[in-house]
Amino acid sequence: MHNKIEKVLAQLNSVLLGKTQQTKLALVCLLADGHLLIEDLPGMGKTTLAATLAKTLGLDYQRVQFTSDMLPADIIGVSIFDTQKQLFSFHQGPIFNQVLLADEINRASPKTQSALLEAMEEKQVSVDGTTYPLAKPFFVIATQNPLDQAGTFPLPESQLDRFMMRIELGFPSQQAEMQMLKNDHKEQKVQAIVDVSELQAMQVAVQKVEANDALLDYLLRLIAESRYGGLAVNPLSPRCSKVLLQAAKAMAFINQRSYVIPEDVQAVFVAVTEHRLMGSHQDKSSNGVLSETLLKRIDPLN
Amino acid sequence: MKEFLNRFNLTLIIVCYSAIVLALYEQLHIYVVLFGVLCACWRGAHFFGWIALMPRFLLSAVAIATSALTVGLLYQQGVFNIMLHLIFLGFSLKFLELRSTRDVYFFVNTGFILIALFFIFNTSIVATLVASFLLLLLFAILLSLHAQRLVKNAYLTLLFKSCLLSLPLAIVLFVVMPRLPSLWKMPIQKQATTGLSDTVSPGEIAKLSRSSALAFRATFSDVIAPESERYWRAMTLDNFDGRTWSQSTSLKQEESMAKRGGGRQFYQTKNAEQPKSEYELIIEPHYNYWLPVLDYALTPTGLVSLSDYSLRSDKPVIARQAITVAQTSAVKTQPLTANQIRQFTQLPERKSALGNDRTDAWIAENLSNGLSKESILAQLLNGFSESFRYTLEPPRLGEKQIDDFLFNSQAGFCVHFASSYLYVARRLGFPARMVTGYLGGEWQASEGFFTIRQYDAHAWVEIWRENRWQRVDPTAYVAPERVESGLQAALTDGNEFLADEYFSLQKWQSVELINLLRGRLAQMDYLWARYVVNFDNQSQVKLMQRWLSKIPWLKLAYAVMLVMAIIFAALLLIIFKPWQVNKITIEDKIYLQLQGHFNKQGMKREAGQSVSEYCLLLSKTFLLSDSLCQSFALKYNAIKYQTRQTKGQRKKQIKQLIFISKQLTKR
Repeated sequence: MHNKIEKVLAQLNSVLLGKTQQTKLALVCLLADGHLLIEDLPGMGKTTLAATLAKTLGLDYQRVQFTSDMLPADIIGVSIFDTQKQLFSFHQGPIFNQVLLADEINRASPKTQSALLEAMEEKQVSVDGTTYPLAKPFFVIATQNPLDQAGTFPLPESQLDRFMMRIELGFPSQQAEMQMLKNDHKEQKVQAIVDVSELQAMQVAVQKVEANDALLDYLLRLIAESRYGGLAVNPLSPRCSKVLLQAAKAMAFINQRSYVIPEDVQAVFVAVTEHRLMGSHQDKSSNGVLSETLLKRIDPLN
Repeated sequence: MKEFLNRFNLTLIIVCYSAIVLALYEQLHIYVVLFGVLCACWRGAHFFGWIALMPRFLLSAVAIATSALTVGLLYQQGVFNIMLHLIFLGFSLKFLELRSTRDVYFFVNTGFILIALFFIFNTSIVATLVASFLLLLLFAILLSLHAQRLVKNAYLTLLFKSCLLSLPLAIVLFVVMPRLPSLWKMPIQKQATTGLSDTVSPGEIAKLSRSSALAFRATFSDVIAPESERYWRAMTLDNFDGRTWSQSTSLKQEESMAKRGGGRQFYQTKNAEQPKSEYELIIEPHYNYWLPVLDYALTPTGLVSLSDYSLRSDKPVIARQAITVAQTSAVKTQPLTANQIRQFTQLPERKSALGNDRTDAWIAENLSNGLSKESILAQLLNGFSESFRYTLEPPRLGEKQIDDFLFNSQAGFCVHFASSYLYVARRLGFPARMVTGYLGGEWQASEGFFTIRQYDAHAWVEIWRENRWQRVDPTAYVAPERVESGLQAALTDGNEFLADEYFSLQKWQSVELINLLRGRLAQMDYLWARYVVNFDNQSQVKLMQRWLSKIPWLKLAYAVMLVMAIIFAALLLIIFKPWQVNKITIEDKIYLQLQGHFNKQGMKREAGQSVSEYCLLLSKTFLLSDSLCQSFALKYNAIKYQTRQTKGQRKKQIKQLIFISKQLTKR
């Protein structure tokens, strides 16, 4: 199983050069059964990462470009009157794929955003009194532009909370970029390395990773510091602590360990908590600062 | 300068300093007090921001100069005085240079010492109240340093609460702590003696009569001596030079022996009658050696008696002193030796400048008229009661005192009458001596003791007749009410009594409320003196024995130690709360040791750093083996965070961790 993971990571890194940390985090997110939010400037490879990830894991995916005039029906689907059958038949929207690439999610109006985010949490959709389960597994990989760009609607805190992680890609190093330019003419061959059953087995394996009391104590101290530590942050919710543990477990799994250690927690902590700590008062300049403060304040050794 | 002291602190400190200077004002040399005031002014000016603090070098210079000056100034007054002044100087200078919290601690502690010194000079209840106030101020300074944020009410509450809480401990310490002997020899003040002096020339006791200061207090255990019998003997004077009565050389020798602790001891003899009664005296400091007793007293332990049965202490009475005296009437009298007879009939030369020719002539005339010696004395006393007058403000007497008094002024007070009576008696050949002391005393009905004040000072005569000393009080013949109901009654002119003391409470005896108040105050002061000030080693042991008489001493010691240990342990528990401390596991200990090792070499682990991060940094900083460092991190994490491991595995892993750690710290 770990062999496969190595391969998956290798393939991701061959497409997205010099971003091992981010690709690893993205994989962790999917293994932990969480939705992923990628935020960065246009042209940084957000969509590439999302698409490669879906392809590599052998998931069928559909990409939706969010715009401000989009309606909920454009994502969920629409009932159309079938004149032959004299019935309304439901035409599934892109949300019924295993992976939905929601490109530039913050360009859509809040109404559409919330339709998507509801589906993300419930993993089912109700239209005209009928409930349709979504595919399994179901991931949303959303990308968003920084909020200082024109024509964006910021996601409210409650909806940001639905994403397990938010990662930023950042500019590549000069070396990586040069490599990219040299290889530009070559066709990137991305093939599925893992199939759905394998992915699900991995997810189960992640669930089996264990965390002992000492680790949970450390994790909870981090969470408690956000609540009572006197920092000007949005306090972290119990859901967040749950998600944080899950992500840490996935990280431990990727690192081929059957137990979680503080290093795993630290590795995922910024990605998991920063967007929750900051809320919608996003400020590009303070990226990662809040969660790193927390990490510095709480010593793993107690 | 850092503004670490806020305004409130500074105000408190300045107030406290001024209060201590005021309290010690009487004990300090005037220059030193002036210096203290100067310091206060400087600090005050700095407080208002007018001037800067004294620079350090200047302060040091001032310190050296003033210390040298003080030592020079007080060189002759003994170590104690110099120490007191030096401590005060240090206190003042510290006050000037308060810059940090440490300085304030220093200041406050010196203040405590000064308050302790204050008690050496004054132990009355008023002094105690003053000292308590000063203590409270010092505590307030300490508290204000540490409770900067408290508002007024909370601050005061905390202050009083903590003082009250520590009170029981203070009381326990007071009762239990052994009394240590003094470190310094106490000052013996030469001029400042109060009360009776060892010479009497007519005119001196008049000054005393006007002071209402307390001389001593007396409590009788059963039989209370009647007013006309309460002659408190302090000293006898047997030498007369025509002007002044003083002690003869032999008495002075005895006196100086007594100062070294030698002298006679009168004890209860087995077959003699039981002592008449016992009484307790609480004597106010008078800086002299005598102790007033009713005639005659057995010698209490620690004191000595002279041949005239008066009591002496080997130390001057510089603090309130309590003694218990057994009174006795069975005194074995031995006939006087020739030397003694010569001494007790000694008079100045007949025809000298100070010779009292008229008196001598009067005696000779009576003798030639065939009167007996006894009847001449009786006639003299008769004359006193018929034509003499008792006054505290007699006219001045001429060179020939006795002549002038007997035949011209015929007005005077006890000394005049005693002196002239003695003169006549000695001229007639009776051995006689003057006794000075106190007469009577005021009965404090509600409190149950007598107060004897300085205006009760008196002088009378003892005359050797029928082979024993007999008391004769010539004053009783001219003013019997002086003997029976005190000085106030003897003076017909009310203004004469306490003419100097306008504010004396004694003058207001007719006002009921003030009387009551005065009584209460006196009672409190008495109780204070009796139970607190005189609580010495002896009474400590007595008290302990009374309480714990049934417990043997060793057991008691164990019990006290046990109680102390329990209290101590409870305190430790409360402070450290061991049940809340997480147990440090073995792997953490090893990790911490590793950290300690590299901490000494200058690499500290940042808070929040994980093991792997730390180990990576270690290998980079100290060029250690990368894999070794990594394996440490791996092992540590495995031991600490792995969920399923058997005890055997764990032990093995810990061994490996220790091994790795040793490898790492080898260099």
